[in-house]
Amino acid sequence: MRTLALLLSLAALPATAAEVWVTNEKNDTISVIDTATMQVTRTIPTGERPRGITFSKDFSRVYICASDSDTVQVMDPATGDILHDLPSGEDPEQFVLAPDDVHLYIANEDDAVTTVVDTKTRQVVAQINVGIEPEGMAISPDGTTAITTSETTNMAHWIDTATLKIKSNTLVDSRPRHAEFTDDGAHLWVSAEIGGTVTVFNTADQTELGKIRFEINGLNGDLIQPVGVRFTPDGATAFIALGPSNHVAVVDTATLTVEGYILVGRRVWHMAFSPDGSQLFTTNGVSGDVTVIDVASRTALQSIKVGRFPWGVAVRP
Amino acid sequence: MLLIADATDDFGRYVEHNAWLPRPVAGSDGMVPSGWSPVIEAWGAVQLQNRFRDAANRSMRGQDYAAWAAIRAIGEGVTRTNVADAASLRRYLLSDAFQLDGFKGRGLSFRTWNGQLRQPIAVANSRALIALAPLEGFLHQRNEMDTLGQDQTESACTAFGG
Repeated sequence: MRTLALLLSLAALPATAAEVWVTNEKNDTISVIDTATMQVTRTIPTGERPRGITFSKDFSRVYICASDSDTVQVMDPATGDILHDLPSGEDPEQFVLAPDDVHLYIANEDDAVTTVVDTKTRQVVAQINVGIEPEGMAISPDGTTAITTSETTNMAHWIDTATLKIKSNTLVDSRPRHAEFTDDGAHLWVSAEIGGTVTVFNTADQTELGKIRFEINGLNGDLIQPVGVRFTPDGATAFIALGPSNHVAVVDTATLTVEGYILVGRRVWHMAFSPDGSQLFTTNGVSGDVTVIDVASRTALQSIKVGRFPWGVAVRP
Repeated sequence: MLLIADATDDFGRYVEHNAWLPRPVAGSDGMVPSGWSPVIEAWGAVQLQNRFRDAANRSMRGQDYAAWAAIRAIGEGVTRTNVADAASLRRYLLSDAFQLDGFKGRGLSFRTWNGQLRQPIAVANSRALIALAPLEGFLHQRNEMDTLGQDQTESACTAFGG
């Protein structure tokens, strides 16, 4: 009986404690949040202006875009030590790790190129000319197509990863900041910050399937500026961070209709799920905190103070 | 608040920290409102500032920004419409469909009644951006940026059919 009670009480806790890693753009640090206590347990120094952050598949390495240091740093997440830097090209802002766990595709904001780096040999494999101010990066789950969005050219550039050449360009609304493939790879979602929309493309032929618009009571439309996009593990729901509107939109991925809005901190940039998908963590740049959202009830549970201008976020089980 | 109107830069610079009463100084000196300032860095502005500095070997000012916005608007019009004749482009630029990312956090457009660029205005000192108007609380039935510049009811302009 006692064992049963203990098991039940354990079941009420999140399945496993995880760590939420947040890059603080103006502090040059990472704040690490323990999901068991929802407290910042570590603050780790990084290069200048850390933004994009991602883990290797086995979580033994964390890659950090140190934009103003013009490098991608490779860190041991256990110790917080920088192991080495990768040649990234100038001003790396966002990147994506290929499914092969080896190749990093990096957007070089100041240079209008996408740099492909082999993380094993630490060599640049290719630099691909794209539009002005590349930012959003995505790669299809099968690894055949990489995407760069360019904020000033207003396009998603579709890169064939076999030839490392652009195979197609698709126009979207103003200032595309983020691209995300659905888990099955069938669709690509691209958010346009100034345009205020998210465009959904069919991956197979790069045609536009639909466009999502947002409307929040009492808010002027031009403050609704979509940036980060995340899909629930079952693929049924998308969460979209809406920047200075201080809300996250919840979207039905089948019908592309907005089902609701969740109030979070100020200027929400990016998001990451807990390993079991039950919680979503948002970085709120201006308020300098992270909002914890309960995914099932679609409510904000609490906010956690981190450093100045938190931007990127990744979760480590 | 002490407001200075000295467009020719004759005396304004001597006023700050020299006033009889302790007052913040604004206008042509101190906190200066302008279409663009070299100190703007948010909304991706650093990239535009860097590109201008590389091209011109100096920082970008309001007049430079206006010229950039004009050319960029034409480029945007051509990209979106895939046409290049002046009449079609003019029609598109003045339509509701047109929107330009001007590195100031809001989509810029043209006022149909007088052709003026609908844009946020920076309030900056020599080192930092202090505020970007429209300021919070100044509401407008159409677009908050229309709290700045000449609104439709105030405009006597006829060049745009208004």
